Amino acid sequence: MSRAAIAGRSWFPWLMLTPGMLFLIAFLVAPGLLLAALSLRDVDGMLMLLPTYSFSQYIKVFTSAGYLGALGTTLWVAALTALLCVLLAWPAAWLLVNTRSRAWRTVLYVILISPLLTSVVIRTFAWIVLLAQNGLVNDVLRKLGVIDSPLALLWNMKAVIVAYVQVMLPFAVLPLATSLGEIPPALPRASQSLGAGARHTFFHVLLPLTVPGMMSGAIIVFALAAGSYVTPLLIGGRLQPLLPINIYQQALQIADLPLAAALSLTLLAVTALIAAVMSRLQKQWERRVYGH
Amino acid sequence: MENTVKSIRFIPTLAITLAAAILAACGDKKPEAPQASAPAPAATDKVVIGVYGGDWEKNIRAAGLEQYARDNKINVEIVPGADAEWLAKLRASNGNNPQYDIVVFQPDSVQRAAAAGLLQPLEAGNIPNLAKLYPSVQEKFTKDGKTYAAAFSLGQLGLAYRTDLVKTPPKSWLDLWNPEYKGHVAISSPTYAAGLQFFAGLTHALGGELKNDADVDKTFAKLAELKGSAVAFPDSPGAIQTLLERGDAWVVPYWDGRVFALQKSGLKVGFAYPSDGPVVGAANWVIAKGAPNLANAYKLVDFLSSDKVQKSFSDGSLYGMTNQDVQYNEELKGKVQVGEEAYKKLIWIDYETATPKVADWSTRWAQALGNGK
Repeated sequence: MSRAAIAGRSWFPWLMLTPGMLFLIAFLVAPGLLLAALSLRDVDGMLMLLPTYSFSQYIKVFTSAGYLGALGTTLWVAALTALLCVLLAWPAAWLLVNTRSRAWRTVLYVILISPLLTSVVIRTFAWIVLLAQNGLVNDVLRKLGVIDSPLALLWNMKAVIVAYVQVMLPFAVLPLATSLGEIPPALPRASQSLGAGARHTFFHVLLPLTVPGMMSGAIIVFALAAGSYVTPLLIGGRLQPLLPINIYQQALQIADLPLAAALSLTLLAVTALIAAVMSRLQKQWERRVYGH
Repeated sequence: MENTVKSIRFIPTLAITLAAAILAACGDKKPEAPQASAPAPAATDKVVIGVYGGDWEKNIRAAGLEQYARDNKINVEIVPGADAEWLAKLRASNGNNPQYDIVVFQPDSVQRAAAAGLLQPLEAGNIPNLAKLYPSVQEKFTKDGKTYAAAFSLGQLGLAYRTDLVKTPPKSWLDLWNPEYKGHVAISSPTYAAGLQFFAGLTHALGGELKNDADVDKTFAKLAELKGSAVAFPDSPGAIQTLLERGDAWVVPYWDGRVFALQKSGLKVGFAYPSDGPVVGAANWVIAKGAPNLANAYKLVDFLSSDKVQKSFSDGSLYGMTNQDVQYNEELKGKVQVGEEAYKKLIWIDYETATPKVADWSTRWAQALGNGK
């Protein structure tokens, strides 16, 4: 190969990357840097920006039991959502991969993806209609004589988690289905022909091979759940100690922009750190299972 | 009130707000935001006015803004938005050729912008109708002899209640504790305008003032007694309306005009002006310092302050107004409390005390009513 061709090869990928990189720089990196600058500003008593810079906003975040508690609750709720999603995703992914008929498989995919095509607000209001005191669930239970007075199903953390799981389930199913689809059909058959029972095959062959898929799904769901505020605000109500709700209030209701920026960057950093650790674990597992 | 736009619609606005705040951050001395073009020096043929979006914009257009543009052959640029965005933009321009000539502000924003020196003081010489506005309202926007806003519509926070579900209508802020409503009361957090106003109303009803910490402690103690009795903690007009419509909440602090609008839409809902004082959520016109079309801005604010414009805005919005000569329509006459006597009894939030404390109060509020219900 000529030197020119090699040189051409080395710049070509960069050229192809340029539009995407410019887009990312303009709409992700630059706003991120500006947000970081904003988080270092001080404000006066009327919350107007002062011309000085300091870490006062971060000190406020890390010395307040309220914000730290909200951060902890946010991470815990996101982790629980990720766990539930992965558990529920397994049977769904299994069904997707093992449906022979192409038509049926398409139908299943459409069912899986369709929630993603409706707006969060509409889905959230649907949950309000279902769970309200005079909503569908309470009505049915009352008509069946199971309960006398309506249950308070809305405006608590359980309702938030249920809604999260419904919204985010597809993000767990898709990577898991990919992971399941990549397992050669001969593997479970080989395992069984060597004398392992169905259960043994599941726990020692299939499950370990899908761990990377489960981890990918869990990371996506975790990150989405940790950053979402519309659902908890509408379904959970103001009392839920979740950091995204705090950020929403600081930015849009109190208009303390530097504090909102500091809270957002804290949440971003912690979520990114956890996602990085999880993806590191995933890599290690892949190395163990596949040996490369 | 209307400045608390629904969260979703707000996302692009937030981006703009942040960008503007950052412009302010990076360039206190830099000349200007790029999109502001060089203005014509003296007489201009346009004026830029920021109004709240949705029904508010519809009502103010119908109340004469568009007619004004035609009659005066002037280009009136109407931009929908909200306080936080405008504040950030005014701050970014820092009195030097701002993007708006006039915007509508809630009292807290008027105070913040005035304190930061971002507003053009208004004089009756330039705006004759200013003299027609209720003095008890206008004095709230006067500091050191300078008036910073022309009050427009007066939302009054009182008690909205479902007439078909409540046997005894509430009369006072303290009636929210009535055992009859247990499990069906909704109150908003102090981070939301209606919540902060309720908080101020309650403090007042308990005989205290926001600036006294001991009084605020008493308010929180009283709020803690509402734990278990309150069913929801709405953070937006949409949430409050959903609660009332679905009957989850029977009694909720809300603004008079909004409740009258719900009544008009057929909901069985009543409104009580609390005997211990409704709390103000007013919409007020301000002129930006350094406004590029200052002469037109004065004329337009004068026009907007006239009884004719205010009357027709009131017909649409169902709010009480600030011009003493406004003749309300028959429908509103029996409903909305107006006049100097009523306005004198209104409770105004002391934002100089409240603004720096809202975040702290919000945390205490959540603790009082039970974390992670």
